[in-house]
Amino acid sequence: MILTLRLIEFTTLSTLKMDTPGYFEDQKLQGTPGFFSELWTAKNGLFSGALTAMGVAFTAIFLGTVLGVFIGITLAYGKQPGRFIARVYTDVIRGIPLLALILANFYLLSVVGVNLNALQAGVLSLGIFCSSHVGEMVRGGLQNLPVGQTEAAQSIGLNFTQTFRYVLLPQALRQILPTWTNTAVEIVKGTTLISVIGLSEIILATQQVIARNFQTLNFYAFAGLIYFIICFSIERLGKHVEKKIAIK
Amino acid sequence: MSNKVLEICNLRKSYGDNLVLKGVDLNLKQGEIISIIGSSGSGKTTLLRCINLLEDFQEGTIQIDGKEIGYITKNGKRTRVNSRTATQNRALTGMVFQSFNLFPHITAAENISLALRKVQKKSQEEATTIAQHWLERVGLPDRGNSYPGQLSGGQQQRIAIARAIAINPKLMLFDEVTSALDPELINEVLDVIKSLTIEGMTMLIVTHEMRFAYEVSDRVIFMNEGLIAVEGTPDEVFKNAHSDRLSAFLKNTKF
Amino acid sequence: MFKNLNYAAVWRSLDDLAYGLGLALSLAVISIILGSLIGIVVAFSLTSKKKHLRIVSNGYVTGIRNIPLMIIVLFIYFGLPDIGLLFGQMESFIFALTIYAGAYLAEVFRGGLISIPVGITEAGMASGMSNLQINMFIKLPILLRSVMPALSNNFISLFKDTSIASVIAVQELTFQIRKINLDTFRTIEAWSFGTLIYVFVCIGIASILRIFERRLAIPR
Repeated sequence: MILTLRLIEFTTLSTLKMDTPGYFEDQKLQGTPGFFSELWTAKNGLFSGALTAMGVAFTAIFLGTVLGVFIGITLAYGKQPGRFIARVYTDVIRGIPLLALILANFYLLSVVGVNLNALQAGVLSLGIFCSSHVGEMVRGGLQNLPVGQTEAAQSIGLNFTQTFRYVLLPQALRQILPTWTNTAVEIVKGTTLISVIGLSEIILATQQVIARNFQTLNFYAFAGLIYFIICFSIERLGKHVEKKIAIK
Repeated sequence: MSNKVLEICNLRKSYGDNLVLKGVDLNLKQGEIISIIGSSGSGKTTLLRCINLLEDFQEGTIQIDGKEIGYITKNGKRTRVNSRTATQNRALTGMVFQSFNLFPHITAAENISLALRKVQKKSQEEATTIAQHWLERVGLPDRGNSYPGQLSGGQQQRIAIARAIAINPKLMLFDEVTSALDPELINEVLDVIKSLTIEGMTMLIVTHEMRFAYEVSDRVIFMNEGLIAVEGTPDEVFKNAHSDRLSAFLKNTKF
Repeated sequence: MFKNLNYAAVWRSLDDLAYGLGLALSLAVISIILGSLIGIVVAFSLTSKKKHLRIVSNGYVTGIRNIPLMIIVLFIYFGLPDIGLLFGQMESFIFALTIYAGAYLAEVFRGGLISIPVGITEAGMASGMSNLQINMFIKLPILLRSVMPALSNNFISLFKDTSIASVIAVQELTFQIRKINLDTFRTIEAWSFGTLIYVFVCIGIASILRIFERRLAIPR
C-alpha cells in the first residue's frame, strides 16, 4: 500500500517538475527538471538508440529467417551428413543462452582475428539465434503436414521440387507464422543484450540519460514502454497477417 | 500396342516380415471397370498403392500400356527406378483417396489445374478451360473458386475425382472413396463415378459399396489375405458365390 | 591457433563453474515454482467470467511478455530504489525472473485450462460442487498433468534466462565464464567449455523431464 502511494507520489511529482522527496538520506535532489522536459532533452539519444536496435533486429531476423528456412528443409528432407550438421547446429545454438552466444561470438571472433564491431557482432549473433529457431520451426511445420498431401501431389505427377513449392511449403509457412512472430519479438527483445558488448541501443542510451539526471525509475520505465510499443505492434501485425493469409 | 492397360504378374509385397500381397495376377483391358472387394487387411489398398508407386513391392511386375513401371531389371539385377521416372510413371495413373487429400490452400479449380500447368506444361488458359470442363462433369460448375474448406465432404471428393481424371491418365484408381463420407453424401460421389464410366476410362475401384460394385463393374474381384480369391462377373460373384469365404463376407455386408 | 589450446585454466576453475551452474539452476527452480503460483492464479483470472479480472490479467501478461527481461531486471535493481525499494542483486533478479516467468506460465496454464473438456466441468457442477471445489479438485489435477511438456520447455528457457543475472553481477554460470575469460585470457577454452556446459545441461534437463512426464501422464 505504502509503496503504491509512494510510486504514485513519485511519478506525479517528477512529471510535474517538482522536488521529489528522497526516501533515503542521500537522495534529496533539489530543483530537478520534470520527467517530460528531461525526456525532450534526451530525445535524440533515445531515438537513435531505438533506430539502432530496430536496425539490428530486422537485419538479424531477415538473415536468420532465410538461413533458417534452408536449415529447416535440410532437417526435414536432407541427406546425411548435411542433416547431422544441421541437427548439431540447431541443438547447440538453442541450448545456450542468447547472452552467452553474443558474448562468445564477440570474444571468440576477436581472438580469431575477425574484428567485428559491436553492431556487426550483434547482428551475427542474433541472426544465428534466429536461424536455429526458424530451422526447428520449419522442420516441425514440414513434418507435421499430413502425408496424404505429398501422396496426392505425387499421384498427379508432381516431382519433389514442385510438390515442395506448390503444396508443402505454402501450408507449412501458414502453420509456422505465429511461432515465427514470437521468435521475431524475442529477437527484438534480445537487442537489449547487445548493450553488454557496448552497442549503443536503447538501454545504453537510457543509462547515459540516467547518468545525467538520475531519474532512474522514470527512464527505465520509459525504455520498457518503448520496447512494449515495438513488440506489441509486431505481435498485432503478425496476427493481422495471419488472418489475411489463413486457409479458408 | 497391347490392348491391356494394366498387367500385373505375381505381385508380392511385405511390410517388414509381414507378407501382405502374396502373388497377385491381374489384367485390365481398355475401358474395363473392375471392383475389388474384401475385408480390411486383405491387401486391396496396398495393391492400388503399388500400382501408382506409393509403395514398393519386392517381387513381380506391373505393366501399364505394355511398359513396365517401378523397377528395371538389368543383367538379372532388379533395381527401383529413379525418382524422375517414378514421377513420370505416376502420371499414367490417377488416384482418388479415401481422405480426399485436396490441397487446402488453393481453390478447387486450382487443385484441378495445378498438374496441368506444372507437369503437362499447359498454358494458364488451357488448364483453366480443362478444369472448368471437369468441374461441370462432376456437377460443380460454379464451385471452382471455392476453397476445399468451404465445401462438403461429397463436394470435396468430387473435386478430387476431377483433379485425378483431368490429367488424362490411362487408368483411374479409386481407394474406398466413399468410406469417409456421411451416408447422405455417398450417392453424389457414386453417381459421378457411374457417369464417368461412359468416358471409356479404365477403372480399378476398391469399395465397400456392394450394390454400386454390382451395378457398375465389368468384373468383380474378391481379395482375401493378400491373394485374389474369386474373380468373375458381378452376377457370378454376388449371386452365385461358390467360395465359403466369399459367402461369409457377403453375408456380413448388406447386399 | 588450435595448437595453443590449454584447458588447465578451465579445469582449475571447475569449482567456480559448478557454483555458477548450481546458482543458475537454483534461480531457475525458484522462479518456476513462484512463477507457477502466479501463473496458475493469473490463468484462472484470464479465463474468469468477471471482466475486470480478465482485463487486469491480460494487461499483466501482455505487458510483461513484450518487455525484455533485462529492462525488468534493471528497473527493479536500479529503478525501484527511487521509491524506497532496495533489493540486493540476487533478490532483484529473482523478483524480476519470477514476474517474467509468471506471465509466460500464465499463458501455458491458460492453454491447459481451456483444453479441459467442458463436459468434465459440467459433471462437477451436476454433482453439486461449488466453483472453488471444481477448480481445486477437478481442474487443477488435470491441468498439472497436461501442462508438463510446456512447463519443461519453460524451465529450460528460464534456465537460459538466468544468464542475464550476470549483468547485475550475480555470479551465475555466464558470469563465471566471463570471469575465467578475463582472468586467464583463455577465451576459446573458456567459452567452448562454458557453452558446452549449457548445451549438455539443457539436454540433460530435457531428458529427465521427459521421463517425469511419462511417469506422471494420465494413463491411456
